[in-house]
Amino acid sequence: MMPQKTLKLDLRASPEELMRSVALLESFGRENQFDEKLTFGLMLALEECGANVIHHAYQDRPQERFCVRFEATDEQLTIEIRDTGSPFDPTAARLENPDIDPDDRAPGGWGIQLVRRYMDDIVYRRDGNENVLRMVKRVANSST
Amino acid sequence: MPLEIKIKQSLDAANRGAVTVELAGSLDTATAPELERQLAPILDTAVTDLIFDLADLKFLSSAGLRVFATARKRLKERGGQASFIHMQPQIHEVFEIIKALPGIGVFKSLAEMDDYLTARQRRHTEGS
Repeated sequence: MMPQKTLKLDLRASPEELMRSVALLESFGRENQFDEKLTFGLMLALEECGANVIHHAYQDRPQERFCVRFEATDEQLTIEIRDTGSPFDPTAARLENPDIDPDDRAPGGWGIQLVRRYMDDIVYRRDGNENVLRMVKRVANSST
Repeated sequence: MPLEIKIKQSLDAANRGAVTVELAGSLDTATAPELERQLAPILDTAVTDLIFDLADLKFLSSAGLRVFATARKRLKERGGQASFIHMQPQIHEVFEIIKALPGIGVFKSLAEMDDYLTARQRRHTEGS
């Protein structure tokens, strides 16, 4: 069987359904022989940004829906998340000041901090009534 | 991937008062609330040391880190500590990136942690 190169999912906005999509992304990575660390980073990016959609853009209304599209080429891996919730730009989260005592820091920025470490580009745009978040991981130098 | 949570009260003399929490699977936005629910009654007792055994934890996101951070803070307030053993490299990297849990103990094995806790116990006894 030829490895699948695009994965499109239409999901209910619940944490359980989000994690089902993360598991599908893991299988997709395995089928396409991504290395484990790469797959872990992609799964984490999808989990963190999907959780933002569920908890922030949709304010925990599980009857809402959102779309995830995952695409793999030889050069890059792209995750795109679209929802019709309230405008929410995760890239606008301010960076944590490392000098502040961690007990006094708001933990809200941890998710985006992780995503920034695992992905190369994170671009948010509001497209009509949609939030569109596109994350790219370049794999140009990986073995083919 | 679900999360399996096993909570064990330590009977070992060196770790008296320590509770071990074994986590297997995925600690994420879907499973973190359940861990939080199960930890709450423990954190309401006088227990000072929580040991998280992450040998079989495969996935960890910020939702899980927040549960650890809350536990760490509660234990620290009473002079205790949260410790982590058997972290897999990918899980360890998530901790490293966030650096939000200073003062936690990270140990490769139970033996290494026992040595640490025994030494700490001795310091407390001698210091009092």
